Amino acid sequence: MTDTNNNMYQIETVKIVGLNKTTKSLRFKFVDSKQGKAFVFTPGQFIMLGVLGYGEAALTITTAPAELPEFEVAVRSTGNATKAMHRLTVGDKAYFRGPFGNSTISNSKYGQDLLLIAGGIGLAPLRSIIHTIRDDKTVVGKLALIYGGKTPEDLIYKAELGAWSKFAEVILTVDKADRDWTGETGRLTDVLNKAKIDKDAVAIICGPPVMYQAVAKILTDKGLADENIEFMLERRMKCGIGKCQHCTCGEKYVCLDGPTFTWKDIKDNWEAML
Amino acid sequence: MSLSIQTKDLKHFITEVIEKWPTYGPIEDKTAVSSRYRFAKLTKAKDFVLHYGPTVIPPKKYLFPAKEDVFRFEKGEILPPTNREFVVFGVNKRDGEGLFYLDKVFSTPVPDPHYASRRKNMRLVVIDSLPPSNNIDCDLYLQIADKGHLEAYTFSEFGEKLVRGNKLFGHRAEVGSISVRHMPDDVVFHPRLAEIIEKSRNHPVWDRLAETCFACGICSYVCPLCYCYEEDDKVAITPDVANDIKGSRVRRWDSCMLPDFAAVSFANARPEVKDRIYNWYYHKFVRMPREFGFPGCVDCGRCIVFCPAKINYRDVLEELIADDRHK
Repeated sequence: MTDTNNNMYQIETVKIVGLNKTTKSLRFKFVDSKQGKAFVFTPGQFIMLGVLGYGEAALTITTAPAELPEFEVAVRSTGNATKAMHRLTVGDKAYFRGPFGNSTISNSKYGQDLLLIAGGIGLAPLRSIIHTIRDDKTVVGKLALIYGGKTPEDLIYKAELGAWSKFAEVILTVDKADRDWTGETGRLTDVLNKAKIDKDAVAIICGPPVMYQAVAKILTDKGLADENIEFMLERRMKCGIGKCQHCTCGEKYVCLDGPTFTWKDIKDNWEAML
Repeated sequence: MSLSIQTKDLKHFITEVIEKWPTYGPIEDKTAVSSRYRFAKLTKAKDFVLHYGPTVIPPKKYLFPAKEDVFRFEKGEILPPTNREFVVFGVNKRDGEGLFYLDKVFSTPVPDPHYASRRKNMRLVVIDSLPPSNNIDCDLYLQIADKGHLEAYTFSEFGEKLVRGNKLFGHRAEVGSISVRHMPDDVVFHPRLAEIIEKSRNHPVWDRLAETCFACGICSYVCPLCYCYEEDDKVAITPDVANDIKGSRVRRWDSCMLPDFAAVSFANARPEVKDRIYNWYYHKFVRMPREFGFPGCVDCGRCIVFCPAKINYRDVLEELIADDRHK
């Protein structure tokens, strides 16, 4: 470990899985196994993953803490850094700093029903919670996942959704179905509107921010308290430690106060909702 | 009874310092375009100016340079930068305060190790006609007591080392008349400023400023307490760049006034100049006071002097405060 920049860890790529046309799941192990043993994080926290020569990008860990010393992230190829991550092959080295940010699952109240709502690759950060609950059912009460995308092709972790339905109620929806589609067809918000949701449930939402306002309205109409509705926000962070200012939303920092915020915390924030 | 140095001996003192450490301080350049004064490496004592006007770039550049390597990398190895001890000599109290608050920003709530290692190596000598106060963190403070003398206050072992046993410093029983500058603090330190700005999101002043502002970012670069940055990798072109990548992670000043500052892949949090101007004021007078307990402004006036659109934050704050009073 070098102390040049907040716990810089060297990692090695061990597995690469394509999730959809533009997204890959990358699995890493720590080069120094001692570091791997000492590393801790909680679901919802993110890391600044970097490939030397191409800079860094903020990515939420998609596996459960119990799966350490290996972990995964989901990377959509959009910029310099994420394109370089897509070029990594098994054995290639990368670096990361972190973990940063708050945790989703500790915010929610233990034992209460948990509703996860994901759109597109927004399922990736929530997978850490799903895996945690898969391994320890006492964390929450009933678990439900409503997951939507534009087409069946856009959905990620398709190979795992079946296994998840053994311990969670999984509702899938796409805007445009193909011939083999067996899930719902229609907007995620329409499916959510029809769903039966306990008013004491905790909802965690991650997806395109355009749906956030609508989702917040549906959930509050169903009786959920503002502090039980949690949104994950995305910003183009550079530091992860509240300095560089790229992730500020009013008086909040997505990197320090987030990335998960309750609706209560951000509903009046002038720049949290994009 | 305290130690003091005669003003005429200051140049000998500077020579002593320059000989031992790389030393930076205010110099005067009459041919310069934007400002006659700037902070530069002192190679000769006579280059130093005791009373300097606004420099374009504040002394923050010695702790947080416009562009710097956070680390270098070569053959897959990360090579941390090496820092050595240096002296920043003769900044005035206002600029000293700027450095003091910048220290707080980079050390709380999470310390930035890169800044910390630079700060650990910086020795600071402040010179001003005002007495020292607790919002200065320097090694030596020289107070201009009268025309002939500077009163010495030491705040560290290094400061002690500079003056103790130094023949240039002698004891003087009498402190001369001390000139005290008036601090205009009514606007920047208005007790309800954060609340007023927070409520002013729809105030017409932001639309008006957006019409004149070039969104060039100069106000951020010249500010002692603007500290946002961008970080990316710079790669050297070598014969085998694909397999043996060599370069550095570069941190460079950014500005929240620039169009893409708050852009993400799917949207831009502040697409309009108006949004960005409001955020600039919000950061300095709302977010920073709530985060650190002080505003992001030491009232140095650099952003007024160097703004190509002649925007004056004091006028803006005065207008907002006045309108709030009339409500």
